[in-house]
Amino acid sequence: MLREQRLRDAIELLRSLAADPAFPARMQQTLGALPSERCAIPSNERIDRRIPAPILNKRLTILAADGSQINPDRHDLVSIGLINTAVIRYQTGSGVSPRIVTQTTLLDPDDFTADRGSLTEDQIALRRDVAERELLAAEAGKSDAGVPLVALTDGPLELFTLRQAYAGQQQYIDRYQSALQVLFQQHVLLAGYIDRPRADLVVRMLELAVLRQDETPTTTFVPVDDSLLFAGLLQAGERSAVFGLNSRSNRELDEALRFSFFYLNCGDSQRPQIARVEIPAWVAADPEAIDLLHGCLLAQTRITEGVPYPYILHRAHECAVVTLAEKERIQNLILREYAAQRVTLSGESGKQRLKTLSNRKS
Amino acid sequence: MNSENPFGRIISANSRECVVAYRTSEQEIPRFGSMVHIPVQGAQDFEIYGLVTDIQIEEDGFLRQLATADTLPAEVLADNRVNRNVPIVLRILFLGCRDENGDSHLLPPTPPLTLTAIFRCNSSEIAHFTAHGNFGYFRHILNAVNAPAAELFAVHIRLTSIAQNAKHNEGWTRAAVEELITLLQDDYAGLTAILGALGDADISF
Repeated sequence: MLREQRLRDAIELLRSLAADPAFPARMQQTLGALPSERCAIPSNERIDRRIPAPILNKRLTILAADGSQINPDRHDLVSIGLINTAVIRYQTGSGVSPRIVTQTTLLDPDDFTADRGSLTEDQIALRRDVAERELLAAEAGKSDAGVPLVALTDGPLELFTLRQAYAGQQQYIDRYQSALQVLFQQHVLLAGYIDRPRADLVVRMLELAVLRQDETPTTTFVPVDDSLLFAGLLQAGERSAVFGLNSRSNRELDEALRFSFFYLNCGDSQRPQIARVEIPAWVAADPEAIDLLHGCLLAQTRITEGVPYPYILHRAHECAVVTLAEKERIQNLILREYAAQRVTLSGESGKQRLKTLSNRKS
Repeated sequence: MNSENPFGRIISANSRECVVAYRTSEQEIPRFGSMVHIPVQGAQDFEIYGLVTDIQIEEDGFLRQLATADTLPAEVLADNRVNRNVPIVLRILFLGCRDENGDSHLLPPTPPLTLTAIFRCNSSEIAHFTAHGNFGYFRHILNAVNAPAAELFAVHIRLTSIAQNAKHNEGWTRAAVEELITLLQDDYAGLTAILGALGDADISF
């Protein structure tokens, strides 16, 4: 009951702010005083705008990238770190089988041995994100100039690891931005697709919008989040207005690369399914590009009928994923090489050995 | 698929038969009842001859999901047939083998190991193996469990008669059918089924 009431309140507030022409300027002022607040910023579209599914009558080339990783485990007999990335190229209306490119990088063992400290999962995830965008940028360069090119990644475009700085991180952030610059130069319609998002960026904007001077921000609408808000607003196939993103990491980007987002209802009339779509500034500034992206994402999510998720992103995942069996095969190859070179290993840790024994069937 | 390139690899085997995974990206699905050969290398090299007795197209949950869609883009169909590692699984019945002493219609001395490559037989290999001896390999087809013997004989005799005719061995087809009548003289139902299938196979003598 509380949730439904708060949802109604949030929708009502969204609509009343949308009708207030002074709201965007007032919001800018509020965020000037609270720069660290992570929330949505109104763009030049009314914040309660609902844009119906466009008719997609253009041929597109769609690239989708995904990556997976093996995190080094000090308990293993031989500890390995690996990043595997894949890009799949899909040409709509061509009838041609999509082309798949994969790239595998075995991490330097010196990067995670005892004397150099260990690589954390987040650090490897950052390297994986960079590898995905670099492969995407390289593949984008091989596309036909006359056909619009959409490039999709699973998850946000924004790098969350920026929040926890560590030595050597900047080089990966620079490489990430360089890859984005390449995509920008080619006017690639880049988007990060976040399935079932848990963010409260727009809800937070609403909470801040009604804040009186000198008042401390509160979470007035909890447990309402953006998914719930837009599930109550958007009909099947509709997208929301485009919102800017107020965050420290976004401000640190070049203006041309900064991320915006919109929400998309990929579900049907019975079951709304909300996704957040992050886009860079060069896409956000181009209404035709947003229309193409909107139509493209809907078409992709409808291929797997009843399970609305972009087909091409699922395929990129299938191509990128590294299974446990593959990890063991790589470890066995390395072990064979160590044996050939008469390298002595310390063996599995006691903890791992007992786990292995417990899992062994008699 | 041609006789020089392997079209699949063995994923399990016993003394009588093996199971082969075959990628859907191959241009031509091996035909039911067609003959294959499997080179086995080890302490003693030999070659196994076999017959495709079953073709199963595997599925996974994702394919099942796609199959429920009203329409699928041609690119998605091509992607699933060409790129995705969903194999076609073939069951191969062993008919005999060849070693340094020549052809034999006895079962191979050992089954092939997993991941051994498998090849399609060309016309000459079919004619050579099936002309050897006195149709001893027919007993393996008759004894096969869970294989449609009548259908197998019909397809096998039709395909083999083409290979034999090319070698000017026109009497092979009649001799094969007479041998089947002899082997099944005490099994009226089995014989009737095979003769019925042979009639459907439009085999000329």
